[in-house]
Amino acid sequence: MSVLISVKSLRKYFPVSGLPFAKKQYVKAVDDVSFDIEKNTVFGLVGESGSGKSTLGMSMIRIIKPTSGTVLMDGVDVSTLRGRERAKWSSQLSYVYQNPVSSLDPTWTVEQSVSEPLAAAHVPQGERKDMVLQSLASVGLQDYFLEKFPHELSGGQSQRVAIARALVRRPKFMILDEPTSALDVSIQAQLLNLMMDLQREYGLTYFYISHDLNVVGRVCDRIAVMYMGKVVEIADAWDLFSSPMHPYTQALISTTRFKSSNFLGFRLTGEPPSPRNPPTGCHFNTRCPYATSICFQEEPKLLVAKGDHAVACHNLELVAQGKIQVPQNFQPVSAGGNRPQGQVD
Amino acid sequence: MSDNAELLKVTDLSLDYYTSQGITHALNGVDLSLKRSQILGIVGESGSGKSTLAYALTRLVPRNAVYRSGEVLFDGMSMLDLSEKELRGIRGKRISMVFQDPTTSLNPLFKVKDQIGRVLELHQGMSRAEARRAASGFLSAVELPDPDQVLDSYPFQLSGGMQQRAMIAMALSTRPDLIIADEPTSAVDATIQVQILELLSRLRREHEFSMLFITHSLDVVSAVCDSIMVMYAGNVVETGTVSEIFSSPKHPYTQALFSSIPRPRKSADEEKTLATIPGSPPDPRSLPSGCKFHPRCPYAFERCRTEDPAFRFVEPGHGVACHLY
Repeated sequence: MSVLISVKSLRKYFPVSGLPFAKKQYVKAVDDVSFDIEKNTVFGLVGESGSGKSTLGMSMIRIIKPTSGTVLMDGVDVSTLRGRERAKWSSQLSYVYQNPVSSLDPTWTVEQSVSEPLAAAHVPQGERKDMVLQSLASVGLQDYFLEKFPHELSGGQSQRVAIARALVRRPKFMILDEPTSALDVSIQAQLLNLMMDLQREYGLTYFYISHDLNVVGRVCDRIAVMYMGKVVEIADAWDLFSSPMHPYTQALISTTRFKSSNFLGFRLTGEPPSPRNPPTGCHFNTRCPYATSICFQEEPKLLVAKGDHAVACHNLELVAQGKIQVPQNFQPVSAGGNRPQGQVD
Repeated sequence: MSDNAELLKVTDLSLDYYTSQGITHALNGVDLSLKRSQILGIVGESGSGKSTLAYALTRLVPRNAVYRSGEVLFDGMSMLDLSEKELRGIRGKRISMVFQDPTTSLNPLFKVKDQIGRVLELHQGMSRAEARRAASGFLSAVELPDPDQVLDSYPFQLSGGMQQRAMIAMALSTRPDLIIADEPTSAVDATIQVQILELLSRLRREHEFSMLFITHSLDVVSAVCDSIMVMYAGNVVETGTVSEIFSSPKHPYTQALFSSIPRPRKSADEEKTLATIPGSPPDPRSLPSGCKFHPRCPYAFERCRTEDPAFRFVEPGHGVACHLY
């Protein structure tokens, strides 16, 4: 296995408008994030809304310009590329957005939408139609879809068109930003299968952004969990679900197990703090039942805990033993679930 | 009236929408029964008629909707025969609603106190000061910290989860017999969703209201509901208790819905591919003949193409509309 994408200390800060002459404030949407994505794998990114998932995805391929940090693709720093080199690099990438209806131009036919990336890459006019047809066929759409407009398509069909458009230049790397969250479960299952088939068939590498842990756990090989602009845990997918180490990951996974007898973790109370003004120390300390004094002073670093499993937490031992420190941040499960292991001090 | 009496009974409800592109059969012979302090989950994909059903019960349907047949009895009253004036005394008072997106269902121009207070002034005849006190009580009941500050906030000053809690407080404030919740947790994050579902379970035990819980998610249903009704193309295809339906789903559509929910893989070798339902839901303007699910059903045989399956009970409390049973 070799690394395709390597993200190193990537940051994206957005300035917040405040009073004139006041000290400039920033929302740290992505704050010092580093990870590697191996070729031919599906790398998942989970987190709740506002955690910075999409900002991370977009800054990785410079749809928005990162504040600092580097992204290497095949070992090349993409920010140094200019002119033809840069165009060649960008033709190897594509992005699929969440809402299939708003990501297609309503006044364009499917053919126009899907062939646009080819026009941008100066592919001769005569060759475009065949490539468009091939791309549509690979997502299971027949020739007669060429003349259709977005309003004539169902949600699932629109998302297939968006994927066909992303595939048409034969990219190496695709960012899929919540590609199925606007769809019904039965259509979602079809799309997930299609995307996994395409990934295997064309040897693609995916960066899969989603808030849905079940989906990410199903389709991804490796998963990063994000909270308030930071990656708090990275592990292989099955490892993350069988032995989550960060308290936030544990809480997230517990949300997918409403009535499971082998309930693990705890229910989170409260809501994430404002990203304008994050707590000092660990950003999770306002909601964490394991927080001790160090969590309020020092930001934990993402460190390898075992094998390929990295986690950013000061109190891994307390968490592993289930020793709750802050009972008011802890809520036992009421509806049928079991109380978690460990005692409330 | 005894405690386990039926609060809501719907018989053979059919409703059409007349549109410029033809007649849409949104509901086809829906039967439903809800006892007091029970939560019934209505599950279906988009276009299955689950929201139309919710609105049709209180006659909150657009002008182009026509009731083809059926009867809706709420606490013995025939909802389809009441006058508009009588209905106004029921809607928002004895039956209240919680909608999917709290940002669009709260009025952005009024503070929370004006929105909850108005309900109380209108339906309970309270004075302004009484309404404020009562509203503050309901906001604490939905576990909003610092209710007085929330009362003086505009909706945009609250997070999505707080807005949805305020909506639930508003729905509770008239002490309704029935709450209709239309995808109340679809717009919020997973950790907030769990909090709201557990809140609803607790409130139901304390306040003893019945609830129709409309959702597309079977997982959510299992968290709060007592029984489930699965809808497909305007038809009820299966009903039963949560434990019945989760342990032995009978209708091929219900089975397919379960198998198409993604679950995390347990090892690196486990297949990523999911079982899927081929095709997509039918166009409600031209529904297939016979069983509406037959074009996508792996078990379909000749009779399914011609004859609409009748709804029958395979076990007490577990009904299914399928020729296989």
